[in-house]
Amino acid sequence: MVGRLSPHDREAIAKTIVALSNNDKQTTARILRENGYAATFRDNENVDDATLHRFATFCLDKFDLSPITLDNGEVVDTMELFRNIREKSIPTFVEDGRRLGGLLMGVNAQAARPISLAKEWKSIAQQALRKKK
Amino acid sequence: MITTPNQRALTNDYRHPLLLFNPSSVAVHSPKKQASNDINMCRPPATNNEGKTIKLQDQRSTLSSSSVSFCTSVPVLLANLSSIIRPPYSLRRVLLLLFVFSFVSLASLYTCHRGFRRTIQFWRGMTPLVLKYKYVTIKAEKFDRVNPEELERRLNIYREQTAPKLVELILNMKGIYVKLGQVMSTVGQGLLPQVYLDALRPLQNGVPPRSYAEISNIIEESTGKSMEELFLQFDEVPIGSASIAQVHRATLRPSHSTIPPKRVVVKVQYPEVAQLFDADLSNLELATRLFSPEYMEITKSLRKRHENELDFTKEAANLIHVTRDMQRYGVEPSLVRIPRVIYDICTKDVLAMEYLEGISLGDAIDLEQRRVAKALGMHDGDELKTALATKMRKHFENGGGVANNEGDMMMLSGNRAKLINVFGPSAAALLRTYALLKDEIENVILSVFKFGSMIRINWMKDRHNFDSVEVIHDDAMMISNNGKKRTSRVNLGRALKTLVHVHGIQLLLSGVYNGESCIHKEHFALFIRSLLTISLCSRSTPR
Repeated sequence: MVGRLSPHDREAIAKTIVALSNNDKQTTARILRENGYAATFRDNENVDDATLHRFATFCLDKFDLSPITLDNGEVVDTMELFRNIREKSIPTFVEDGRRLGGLLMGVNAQAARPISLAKEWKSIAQQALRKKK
Repeated sequence: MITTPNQRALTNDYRHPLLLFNPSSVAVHSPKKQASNDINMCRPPATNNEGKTIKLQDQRSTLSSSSVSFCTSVPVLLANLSSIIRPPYSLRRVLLLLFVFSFVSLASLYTCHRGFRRTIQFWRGMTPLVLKYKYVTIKAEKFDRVNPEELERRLNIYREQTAPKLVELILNMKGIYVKLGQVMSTVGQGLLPQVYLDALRPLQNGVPPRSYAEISNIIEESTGKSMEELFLQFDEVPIGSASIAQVHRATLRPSHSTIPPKRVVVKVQYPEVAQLFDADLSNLELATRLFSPEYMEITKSLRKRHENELDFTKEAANLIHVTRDMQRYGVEPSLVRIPRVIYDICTKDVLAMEYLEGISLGDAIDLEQRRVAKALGMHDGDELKTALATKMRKHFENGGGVANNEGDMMMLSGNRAKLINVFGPSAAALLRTYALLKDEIENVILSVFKFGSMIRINWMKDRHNFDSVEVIHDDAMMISNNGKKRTSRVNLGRALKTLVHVHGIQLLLSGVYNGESCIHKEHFALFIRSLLTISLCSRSTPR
């Protein structure tokens, strides 16, 4: 299947990748929120930056199953995070990024060569943002 | 009560017409006559301008004589008519008629409407599963009031019993269900119970192919041309069959051969998939709502994801777009090679593309793992894979990302692993070189045999006058199927880097990207359009 992304979605992905490669949790979470991503964690509508950053990491960077430290300092196991989170609204760029990103991360892991997509794509993302300007 | 004459006139003239009508005088056929009378007893009687009670006859004369409009008299007339006309059928007959009518309608719908038939077929399979699930949960929660662990245990038993039935249902339903089953078996980790994941996994190996007769019919109907007109030769056995389509190798007739290689692959979509897509997805959404409403968003996204996949003309257009963009960014054909579309054979259901020779990514990974396993003294690749999975999980639990030493994940359990951990990546590299050298030697031996076969072919060509290129090609494919053709030329690490880089360009700069999965990496069917393998194709081609 060949997918298409709108210029706006491409820009959103590029910004997310740059933020992820800089490990900038606030910016990553802000981009997701601004583009309509919504989820609940333990039935709480206000999902914090750390959780959103981890979700973006899964979509466009790497498989990170290490325990996550929430903004309030609580340390949560990743599997518990998965069990208790419900996605309410998923923007197209997250959906498409997750699909392709998941495939690439998965196949690299199968070949015993785990990668960080954000690091691999950072220069391309910056180029895309420069072109946009 | 004292009222002025004007007030009384207002009261009577503007009373609702139904109130002017006295049912007790006309409802002669009503079985509820007594009840009506009782009701009327509670109703204040109609009065004339002088305040005297008037009878129906008088009311009628009052109506006709006073200036009551036509509109207000219509309900009265209708009520009178309805009381005169006796209903032709009893309630029982009406119900029987309704039942027969519904039955005939449903039977006609089932016979003529494929979507409806599909829905019935789906729910006939799903209903027992849904009911059993509800029975297990309600019994455990409401009656037995068990703790969560016991509930989970009971649900596990339920899952073990129903997982094979679910897979059977998917295989019977075919089409988009198989596709979704494949996707879920791959990305469903954490979403679906492990029992279901294990049961769905065999779907990744494809589905039984359709017959040549069926496929040729689809091609001829879709293109409006006969198979003889289109193809010089068409492989009846597909090189792959997946959930929505299957792929055959073929040779074009010269008139259709618009690109130098005449060999093409023809992808043929099963006709029912697109026709039943809507009905299938609606059924699936309903099932999700019943079983796991929290995953509705995912199910909806599946609809969005697949609806563009069912029109091959769109895929062809996207493929052309990707090729142009990749050429613009200088990666095609230097880094990757994208198959060209054969415009003459491109419809909604049929898509022909240039045939590119190579090995699939899945094969390349398997071959490397077999080599490393052999070098490590393991029995087979599976043993290595198991150990690798454990190692990878530990890596992800430590934060994931790029491994410190590329390839050290392969170096696993046992004394050799300890040794390699001591010597680090150099030992890993050394081991891989050793494994590669072993294959080089095998390839030399193979090429000697192949040389022999070429001599034989040339000799046969002289005698039988057929195209030697085709035969050599088949010979090469035979070697490929044995898993030994040109494997040493694939630098897997480099190919994967290229793959990630090219997809990054597509996604971020071009905006048109290949989202086809390596979940089907075992399928030749999908290798034709997957850049994942195209990058390998370019590398596996001998210089």
